[in-house]
Amino acid sequence: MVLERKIMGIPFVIPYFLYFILMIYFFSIRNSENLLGTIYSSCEISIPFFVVWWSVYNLYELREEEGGEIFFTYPINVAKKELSKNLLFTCAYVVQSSVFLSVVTYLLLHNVNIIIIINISSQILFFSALSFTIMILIRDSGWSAMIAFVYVCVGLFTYGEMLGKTNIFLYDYNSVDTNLIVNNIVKCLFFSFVSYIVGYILLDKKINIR
Amino acid sequence: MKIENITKKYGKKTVLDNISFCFENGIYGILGPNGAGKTTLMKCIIGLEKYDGKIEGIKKEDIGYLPQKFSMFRQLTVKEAMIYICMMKGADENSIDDILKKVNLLEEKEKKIKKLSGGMLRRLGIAQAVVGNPKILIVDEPTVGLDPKERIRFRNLLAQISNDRIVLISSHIVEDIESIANNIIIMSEGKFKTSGSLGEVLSLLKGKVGQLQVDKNEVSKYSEKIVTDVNYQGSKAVIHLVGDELPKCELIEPSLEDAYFYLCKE
Repeated sequence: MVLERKIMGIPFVIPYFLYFILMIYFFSIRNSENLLGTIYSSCEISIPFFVVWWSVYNLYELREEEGGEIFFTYPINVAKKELSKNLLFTCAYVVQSSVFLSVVTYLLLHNVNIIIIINISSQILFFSALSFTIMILIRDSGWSAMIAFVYVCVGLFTYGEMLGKTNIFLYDYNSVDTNLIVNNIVKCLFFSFVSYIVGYILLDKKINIR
Repeated sequence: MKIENITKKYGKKTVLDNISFCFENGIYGILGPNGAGKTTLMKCIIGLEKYDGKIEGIKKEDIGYLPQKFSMFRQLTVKEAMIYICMMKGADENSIDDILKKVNLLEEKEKKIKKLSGGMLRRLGIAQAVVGNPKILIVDEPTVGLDPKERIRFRNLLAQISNDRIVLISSHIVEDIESIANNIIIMSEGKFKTSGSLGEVLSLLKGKVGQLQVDKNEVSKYSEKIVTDVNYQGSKAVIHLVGDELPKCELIEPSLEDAYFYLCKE
């Protein structure tokens, strides 16, 4: 894990900048109305997307670089390794994001909503799985992150309409009920599962050609 | 390791044309011009390219590979990179110092990879290839981009680590192959044109290599197809000829460069 972190370089610390900025922002608006709704809405747009930095950049072996084929010659199941690594980093990200959300909402409002934290965690999983598969398809970290960014932008600017059934954002946490959140969690888990399976199969097919 | 009827096509272009060969322990130098199919053959053996045909007697854990363009994580130190590779290959991390000593990188083990010279990086490439003591070492164009001193050093290193294994070295630099390989394969247009020891390869050219002294302005009369070298000496020129039908000239001993020219000409 220490080596993996070092290999990832700067992208590893980027999500921590996000937590820092969000923390400052939430404390600066602590007296506003609907603070809880604002915290959750801001977090569902930013925190799940920032997992892309980890999800994409820890797949460094897949980057289309000169001599990069060397990693496919080692006697390990690269597809399995990449998937495990991605899931491990995603879990770590889910845990730290959940802690962040719990701490922030507790400090500001003495309120921790587990179901919403689970929802944001499932959105993290969705973005991680999406960028994993895109990275395997195009083998370019920058473009993989860009595609996830486009998803967020389209979702944000069209209020989810252009994304249709694949929209995973809830936007207004003041008016959502538990059923809607549970449905969203199920949807995120489903898309994540499909995305990981597709990514894994594609990678395995790409590597094990003999 | 045995390869049988290996054929590789990219669209309509045949890059490897029905190659069969049996490799035993020793250093094999694959010599051929750019585009001959050397890298593709190596990638097929390693399992990085699909192909038609059969490759026997090889498993992934048997292979150590150094690609033509080697890169490693620049932000890691040499030692960290080696630890990572040991993890990837399931090899013992205690062997790292021994391997680094062999490739003369022990003193640089705490150095970041981005600070290594081109020669050092190639040596690190060899170090990662020999992790896990593979039975087959595949090295693609190992000396490209190295200065003469580093090239000699690298060739010596390859010779040192070649005991009890198959080493496959591809190059288009005749001198490299001549100095390290004990088996030479000349490859062109996706085929093995010939193979054998240096003596066996050169015996093909008996009576087909000669030199001739002519006036400087007569050089152009001789076909480019048979002239491999021209050495100007005042108003005269000594031309080096290789071919089946030579003009009247003094026959000389062939070199590997002559064999390469003779077998790889269009």
